[in-house]
Amino acid sequence: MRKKPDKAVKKQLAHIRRVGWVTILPQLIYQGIFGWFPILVAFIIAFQTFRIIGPSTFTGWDNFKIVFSDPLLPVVFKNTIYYTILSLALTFVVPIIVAILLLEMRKSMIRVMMLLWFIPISGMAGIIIWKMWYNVNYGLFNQILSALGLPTLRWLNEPHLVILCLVLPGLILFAPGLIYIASLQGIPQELYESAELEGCGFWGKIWYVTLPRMRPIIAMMLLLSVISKMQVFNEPMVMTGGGPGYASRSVVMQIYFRAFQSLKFGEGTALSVIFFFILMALIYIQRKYFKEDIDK
Amino acid sequence: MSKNKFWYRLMTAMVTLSLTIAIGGVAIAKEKVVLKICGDPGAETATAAELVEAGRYGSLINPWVNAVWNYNHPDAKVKVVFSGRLKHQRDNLLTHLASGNAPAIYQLSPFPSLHDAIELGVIADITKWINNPELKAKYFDHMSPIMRDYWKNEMWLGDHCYGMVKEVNPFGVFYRKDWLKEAGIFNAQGVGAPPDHWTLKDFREIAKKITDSKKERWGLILRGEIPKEGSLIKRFGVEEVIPDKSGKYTWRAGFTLPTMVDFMSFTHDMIFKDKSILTGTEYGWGECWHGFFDQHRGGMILECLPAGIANFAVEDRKYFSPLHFTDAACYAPLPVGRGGLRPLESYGQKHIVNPLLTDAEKKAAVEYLLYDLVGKGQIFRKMSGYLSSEARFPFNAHAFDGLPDAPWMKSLGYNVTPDYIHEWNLISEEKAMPSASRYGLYVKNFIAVRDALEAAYRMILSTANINVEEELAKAASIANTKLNYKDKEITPEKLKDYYTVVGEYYKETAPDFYKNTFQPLLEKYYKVW
Repeated sequence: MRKKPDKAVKKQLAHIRRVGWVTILPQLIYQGIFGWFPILVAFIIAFQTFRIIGPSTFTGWDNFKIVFSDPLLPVVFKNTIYYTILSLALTFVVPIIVAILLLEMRKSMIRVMMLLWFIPISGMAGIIIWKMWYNVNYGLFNQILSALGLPTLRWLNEPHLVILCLVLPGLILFAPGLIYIASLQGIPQELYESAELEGCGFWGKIWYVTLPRMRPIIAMMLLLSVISKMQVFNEPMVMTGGGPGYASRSVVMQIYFRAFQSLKFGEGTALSVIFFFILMALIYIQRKYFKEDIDK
Repeated sequence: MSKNKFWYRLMTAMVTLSLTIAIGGVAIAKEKVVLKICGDPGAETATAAELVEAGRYGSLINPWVNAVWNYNHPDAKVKVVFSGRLKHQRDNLLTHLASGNAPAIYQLSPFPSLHDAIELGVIADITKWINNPELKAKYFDHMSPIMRDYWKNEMWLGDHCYGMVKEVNPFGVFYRKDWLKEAGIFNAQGVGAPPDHWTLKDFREIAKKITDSKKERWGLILRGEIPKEGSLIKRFGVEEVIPDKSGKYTWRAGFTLPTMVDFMSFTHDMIFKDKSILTGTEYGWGECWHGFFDQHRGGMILECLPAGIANFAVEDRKYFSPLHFTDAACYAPLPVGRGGLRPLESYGQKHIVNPLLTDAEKKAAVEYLLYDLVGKGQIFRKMSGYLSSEARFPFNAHAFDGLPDAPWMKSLGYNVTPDYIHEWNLISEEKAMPSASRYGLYVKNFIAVRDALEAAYRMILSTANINVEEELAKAASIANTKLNYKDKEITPEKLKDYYTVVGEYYKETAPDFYKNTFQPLLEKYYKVW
């Protein structure tokens, strides 16, 4: 029979709980004001014709009807999904490989390599530099192609190439590798020794020991990457403005254009509400079907 | 008299006296107005001494104008609440508006269009004060025709006025005199210049002649977007929206008309056949102007002729090319378009009034706007070398006659060559086309229509093998989804009035275009009455 905790223990537990609440209260307030409250207001604005001056008017589902009847809706979703898949395929795996290979090096080299691979690079500065490299007339890439006697490409001006051009700058961002390295360092050595005894070589150890042990962190990073890539805005906005045509316009850009360029806040917010539910559905699917607890 | 009675009577007398003074004071006090306004960068933070020391004479103008206004109008003072240009002003303004702390006067540019601003409720109808006979006599006689036409076109919706305009600058082609001369293109004076009244064909030929791939030179630097003002689109007689002949809706996209196809094909051919244009979907105003033209990559660029070019205030220089201050470059009018089309195109700042002001505040705001943009404020600007309305063109050599000496003008250098005067005189022959809004016509969702056209334009200027008509048809079908409405305010009679005036304009200024293009299009597409 379970023993009831005595008064002193109860008091201590209550105190711990109080301290916990007090500690997280500032963050809760901050998150409430700047995180949850705007989301709640967005749900309200999505059903209004929002005016900057004067009262807004309730319009029911009108904004959603306008959003769903917009011929650009499938275009921007297609662009966003294509960008996300391509980005994950090219840039998600590389930091994992880099992290695994790095830890195979000598200890003295690891520090040097970590410095070289994980130097912080400003995202926006990088985007602007890549935009210059893509320049059709003066860009580095076309200069290289010309020097090799190859035909130049129109890069950001080529509708079939533009999404790839937006993805490539992400290839050099290895910062997630630091998280993988931390995870790798937590794998017990005994597991590798057991694997060696079982006759596993280098690749066998990676397949049967390293990757399964890294699975929780990979799952988390995949989830964060999907959410982040689906919300792509900086690269297309700075590099192409969504062009040529609509070839690189993303969902978030469309929200921005409707809300802040056309000042149709209700329509922009309605699209953002739809997008919110889509992302929530993706998160739910991922959490449900991508089992993280490898010991169960 | 007992002591208590004395004090009681004294207290009563004092209270009565105080009440009398208070009520009387309220009765005779005038309503005082304080107008919150936006200023140019730096004006609200630096002292006059700091601005003069830094050579920022441009920033002195507004504080000066405001100080004189406040001195002469103590009951309607102005106060700068925030400053900034372009994007910063837009973000600032929207925040101020949303928080209920908007200035009394601000610019229209943050909003998609005049009609959108009316729908959003952010603009006051100032017709009743503009039509005040006293103000008319005091200010409107001084307005230059350029300014008046631009004001009527941009700030009036039918008979209603919604604001005033400032710094109205006509568009032209800024070109390299030295490159043209090298290519053997010069005028009768031996100066590198395009021919007077040059045509689109001349423009295309000159662009090809001055293009030199070995020297990495292009004939024309072109933005990767169609600006509302100052592109070649109006030279082709394009109508972006046209009435709906079926009567089901009010408007349809005019993208598939021969005039639009002609404009797009012309641009596409210059890029891909002649290879004389440096452009890209990613190139905005900054990249084209300062990134390429200033770096000597382009021989021509479409740009507005700054009316304030005589103002050499340091902070304004960054908006101009360094070539402005040399003898290497000059402006020419935009080339004559199809059938002789030469509509004067201008760009100006549009100032509007907060609709939440009281009547007294609105009256004061309108008078301040007129004072600043048309009246004495302009005299101060002239004195600092910043010309706008009094002189029709900034290079009028007599514009400074009778004004006090401004010592800093000589020290900063004043470079107006005869070529500028000559080109300006050519531009003075142009006449602005009447806008649809002057006749009470507007297009809801116009920005979405524009967005679709821009998308097609970017595809066309970035893709060598493209079917221009198909691309425009695709864009039209997207734009038309935004035009699926019937607006009862836009009647066939209003449309008739507008197209009649437009027809008269074309008949007077471009008879060939009127006969061969406008009339057939009118019968086939525009006529719904």
